[in-house]
Amino acid sequence: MSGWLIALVLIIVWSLYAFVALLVARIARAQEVP
Amino acid sequence: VEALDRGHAAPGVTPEWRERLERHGLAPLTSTSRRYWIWIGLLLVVIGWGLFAYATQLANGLIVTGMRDRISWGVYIASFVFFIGISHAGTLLSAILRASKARWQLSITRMAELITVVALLVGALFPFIDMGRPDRILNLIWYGRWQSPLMWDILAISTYLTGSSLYLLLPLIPDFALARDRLGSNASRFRRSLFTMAAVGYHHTPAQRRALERAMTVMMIIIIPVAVSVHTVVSWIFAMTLRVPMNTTVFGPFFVAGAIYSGIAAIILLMAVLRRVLHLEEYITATQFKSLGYLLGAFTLIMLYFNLQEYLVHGYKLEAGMPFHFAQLMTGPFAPLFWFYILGSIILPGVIILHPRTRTIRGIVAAAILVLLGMWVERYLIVVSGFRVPLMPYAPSDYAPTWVEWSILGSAFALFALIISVFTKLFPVISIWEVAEHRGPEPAAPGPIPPTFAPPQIARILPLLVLLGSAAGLVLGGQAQADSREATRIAAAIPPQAALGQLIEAQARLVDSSGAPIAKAIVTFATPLSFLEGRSDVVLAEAVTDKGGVAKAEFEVRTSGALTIQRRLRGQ
Repeated sequence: MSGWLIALVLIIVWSLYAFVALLVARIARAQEVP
Repeated sequence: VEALDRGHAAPGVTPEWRERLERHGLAPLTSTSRRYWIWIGLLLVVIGWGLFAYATQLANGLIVTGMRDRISWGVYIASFVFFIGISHAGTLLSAILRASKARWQLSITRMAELITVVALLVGALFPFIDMGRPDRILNLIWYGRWQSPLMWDILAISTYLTGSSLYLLLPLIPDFALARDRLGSNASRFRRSLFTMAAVGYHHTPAQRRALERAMTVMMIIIIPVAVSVHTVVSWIFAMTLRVPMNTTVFGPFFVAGAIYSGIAAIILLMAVLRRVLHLEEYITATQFKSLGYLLGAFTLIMLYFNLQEYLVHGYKLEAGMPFHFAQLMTGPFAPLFWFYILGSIILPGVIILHPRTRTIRGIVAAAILVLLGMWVERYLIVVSGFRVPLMPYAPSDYAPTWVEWSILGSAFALFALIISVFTKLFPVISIWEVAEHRGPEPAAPGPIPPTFAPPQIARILPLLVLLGSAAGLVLGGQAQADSREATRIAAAIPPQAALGQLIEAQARLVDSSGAPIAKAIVTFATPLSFLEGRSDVVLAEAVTDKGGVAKAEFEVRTSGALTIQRRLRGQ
């Protein structure tokens, strides 16, 4: 049981990290100067 | 493309000031002094010695340390907790203060975030160093159990290290772009490539800015619970071990508070060093030191409370083993360390910060050094004295660290300093774009106060300060004793302008009818507040006049607009 709880918390946190990485990729893609 | 030029600017930011900020912020990336290389060489020698000590340990086993079967944790685990503790500096300063829209800390957030990452990197080495057979670490992956606090520790620290690295790198992107655009041929080819790559094509376009701000907001929010969880889990390594002195439920918050306490001290020390070495006096001023000093002072009380809670509850019940533990701590072999921890690193720093005369940059740095020393001692005491309490009726064993352990500890501090020193040559240690956009220059210190009554001056961005001159006994009663002369004139000075969130100092001077200063009188600094139909003066601060009749008080600017200073003597 404890394993699932820990895994759930880790999945949530690491998903947010992945989201941030995605935003950094978006910064790299949006580099055309207006 | 000049990345910063399209950014917003904080009040008071002129093109000259911004140019100077950029020049100062980027200067360490283009020029390196001989002293720097000597310093790096010194650190490498210390690290080399530590590697030799570790090789000795690897070849001969843990028998070369002072650890044995009864006291199986020592300097390594105490240092592990210490380094993970100071890693909280970044979270506290950067995330919590950024979330609360504070601005004074923006010139030191980068240093705080850097401490987090470097302290985690160095601290995470200690559990490996503590192992006689580090190659068996893989067993934790092959045979690890979710129920083990050690497993939780590895997961929490790796999650925190990843998160804090992201949190360090995100606000660096605009500064990388700045370095890429500004330095040009002044930087080496390696640095130019690094800046271009790390800037990820950032050109301050609206879309990029939105994405960056969103990413920073996500990290700012998530990093706080992750950081709290890390030190809570570190405390569980002890609290979930069957050792009598560690049988306490308060260890989680106690460790988190201790971590933040030592983290604040670490950032004070680092900013004092970098401020002097990199000539950043214009951006790291008494404001940052005093604000962090107040935080440190508040945490001395929290630490005092936790220690009272810890020792009072244990001391009241005195379960089996605790009389021995209390004796060894308070009057036995650990007494010098224990009393240094309580008196030297909690009470004394509190007194230093409480007293206006010692609440100077030097005083605050001295308090921070005491806190850092004391917090390492505290971790040593928790580990070693906790393990020394006999589990069965045998004579208590003793532990004394050997040269191997001291050498490795010394090299860990050298490694910490080395990584930070290298960082200062690769990245700006000040978040240039944030300071330029959200903070601006420090408000000018108030000039000398005219001895006679001057017409009220207009401040561009300041709350209305109603200065109420008084004779003794307005609020503080007998604490301040002015003489019997009645104040007839009051003069006041404040900086001509200030930005929102900045700490400013206001001064007032009281004189009698002959122009002589009135000492030890209480001056109340107040601001008017309206609510519905009501209106009253809200006291901001009180200060006692010195021999020159001058009273000083600090406020944070919370409202914007041009406002007037009024001065009133009591009864007017």
